[in-house]
Amino acid sequence: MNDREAVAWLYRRAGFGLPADATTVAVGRGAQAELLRLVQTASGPAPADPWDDAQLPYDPTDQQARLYAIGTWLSSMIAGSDPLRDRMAWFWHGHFVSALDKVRVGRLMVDQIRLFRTAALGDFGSLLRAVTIDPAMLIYLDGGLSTATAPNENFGREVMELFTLGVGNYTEVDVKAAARALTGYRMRPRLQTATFVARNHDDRPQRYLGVDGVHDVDTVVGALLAHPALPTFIAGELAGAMLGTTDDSVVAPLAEAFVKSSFDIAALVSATLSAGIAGAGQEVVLAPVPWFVIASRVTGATVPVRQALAGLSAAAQVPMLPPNVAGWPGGQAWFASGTVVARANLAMMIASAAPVDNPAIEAARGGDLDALAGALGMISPTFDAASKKAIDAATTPRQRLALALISPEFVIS
Amino acid sequence: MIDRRQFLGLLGGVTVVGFSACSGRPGSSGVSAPPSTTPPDATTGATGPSGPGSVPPHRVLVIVQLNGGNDGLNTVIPAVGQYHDLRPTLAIPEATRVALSGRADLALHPSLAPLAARWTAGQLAIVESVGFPDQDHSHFVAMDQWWRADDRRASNGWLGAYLASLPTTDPLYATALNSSAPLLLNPVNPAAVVFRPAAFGFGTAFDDALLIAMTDPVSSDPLRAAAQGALARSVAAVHDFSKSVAGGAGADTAQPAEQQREGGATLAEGLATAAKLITNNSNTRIVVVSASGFDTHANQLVTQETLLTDLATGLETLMTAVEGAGMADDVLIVTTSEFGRRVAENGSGGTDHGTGNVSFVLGTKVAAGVHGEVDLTNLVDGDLKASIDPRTIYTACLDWLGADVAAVLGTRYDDVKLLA
Repeated sequence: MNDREAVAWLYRRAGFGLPADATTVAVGRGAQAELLRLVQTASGPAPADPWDDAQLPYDPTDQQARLYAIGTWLSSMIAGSDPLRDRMAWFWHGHFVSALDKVRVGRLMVDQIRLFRTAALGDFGSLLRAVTIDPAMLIYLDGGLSTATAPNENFGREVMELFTLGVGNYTEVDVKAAARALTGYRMRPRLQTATFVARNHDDRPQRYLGVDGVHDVDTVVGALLAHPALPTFIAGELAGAMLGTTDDSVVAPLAEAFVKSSFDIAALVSATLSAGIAGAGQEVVLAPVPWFVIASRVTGATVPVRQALAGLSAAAQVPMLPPNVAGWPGGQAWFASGTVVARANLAMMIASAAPVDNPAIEAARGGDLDALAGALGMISPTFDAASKKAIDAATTPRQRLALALISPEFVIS
Repeated sequence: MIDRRQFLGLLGGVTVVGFSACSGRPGSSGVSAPPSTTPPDATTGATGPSGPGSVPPHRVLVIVQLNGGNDGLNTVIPAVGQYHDLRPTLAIPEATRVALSGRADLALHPSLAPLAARWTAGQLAIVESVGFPDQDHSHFVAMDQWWRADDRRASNGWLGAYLASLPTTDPLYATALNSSAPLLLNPVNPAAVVFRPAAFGFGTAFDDALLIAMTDPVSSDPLRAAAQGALARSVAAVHDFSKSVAGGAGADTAQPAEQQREGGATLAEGLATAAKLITNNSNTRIVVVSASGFDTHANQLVTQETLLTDLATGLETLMTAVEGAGMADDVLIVTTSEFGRRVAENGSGGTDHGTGNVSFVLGTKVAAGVHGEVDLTNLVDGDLKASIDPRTIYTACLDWLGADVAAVLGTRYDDVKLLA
């Protein structure tokens, strides 16, 4: 990659794209310097919180609050000034999955996303501990109903399978031990906060993942952090998202950096992005939400939230509504026809909402396709022959822009 | 201006075939399935000599996926004491169960009343204790086993391997409704995926010519080429779908559109769409309808009642529609779920992940009756022992389609005959 491509790559993978003018400035500073800036900003104090709690009553029947919770997050990603923090919050949402249709209370999901924004680049152990007893998570994976006399295995299993270790690194005995050690938290959609009820907690020491004496959230998290599979699993998840590869040769040094830093997420992210700038990355198919956010940012478009979310729903990806505890599938799953159709319709909404003086619209009007590629912050400096042919054949600048937004060169890379 | 249909007629064949060829990548061939030397004719559905005798044309297979692990024990309820002992709060009361004539030992969940009539009519096969032998209670490992027919090296779904053996198919030949369906995954004849029928159409600002122009020439980059192929197929699928399922399957119910997750449409909605598609589009042969929510670790009684009501309503809608269209003998319906649930309830008003489960096979040509058995006296770590391999059901499905079973699954699994 040359300097411009490296900067475009960085902002597509570690943020939500960069318009042409900002790209020029960033190229002047260099990709490594930009990476440092992104990490420093995202590790510092969080920017202003986008949600107004007055609009988020603790009410499981409040449909409007759910819409506000989701829509405000989407808008804040588009308007955000701390792109790596926002991108990592999105990553953690897809990793430590909870879903609003089961949690039901918009405020509780918002609080979980706030946790991801605050802890996005912090200490992984602290994040894992916080997620384990997060109210939305306690509802989503039934931890809030799990008691000493009737332990619920849902979270106990998924915390190992999907959140920390991966299949094959634990036994059914470990699932039951984790379930027992995490009993006692009480949470359901009608409650505002989780409470620990000591008499519902099974405090007997368990042997868990080869560690003796595990009996509560701290010792469970400690055993997970001590497990040799954890660094590779987390580094692999992040590499899959940022680099588009989970190849051992790429992931192993990242996992090592993660361990050396005592599970500092910022260190892992820096190592991962540095590897990407150095060329370790593969192509990535943008999922509908990051695609929509990038397209909105680079075109300056503001699509009305309801319209945007209806379109994203048709594309099969609404923030806060992942399909199951594994989160959204990635890669070519986004070539499903329903997603292809919805993406096209969203692209037209974005193109129609782009301000007339946006550089991308101006480039589309002038028919300069390389300028259009640049204005859209694409890694690829130009379009392939098929896209060029189609964009040239379009009759209006907004049609041209919409086609550019659904081109493989924009959607992939 | 050239209309949509003419345009696709001109371009569809050439373009789509082109993509099929180029999007096939090294290592992405079928589930150990070499392309059949005598593939069935995808246009007529007629089969080559590899199929089990001659199969009538226009046969349709519908697979209904109950994602999350449906509780089979409360779906088809065994009338034994252990059931009540292990489920003090979750046992379905005898008074509300739906009787199965001639089988005093089993009964259906109260929401499944429509299936009792199908049972009496000899159109329902109940397959008990279905499951792969080596289960680890993970949803995703289990679903993967089902999708790949327990072959970890397979890059295609098991039905995908069959689809890959066919010549280029109609864009709606295999269609997934509500959710993507990895069991259909293959690089040659990808399934159409319709999350929400009402949203499955291009806005007027696009005309097909522009979209199709995006797909030719094909990129030398395999991933970009796959994206182009997906666009070409989507344009064709939208065209055919809008003719068959005019106006979609009605309004989405539970949630406003902007708050619907992937797979959020119900089985009742998905099966109603399937009914329209099958009866209006003679090129559709495989439909997979999915819904999630069956992972009932808590609050199971209410949740499962809603979901099974959706299932029963949807199945009845579909079967009534195909009867009305004179297609009753042409449609086979199969329900699957990645695993059953623990026999003992968990104390949160739910059940944790289990193993053996029940499947329904519906149609006028099924071997009606109960196949396999539920044995609550012989549990393995609190789970039902899975005794019927899911590939037994796959064998019946592939036979139904006239496919070469051994080419797709490696061998036949027909300890239990599910087709009459």
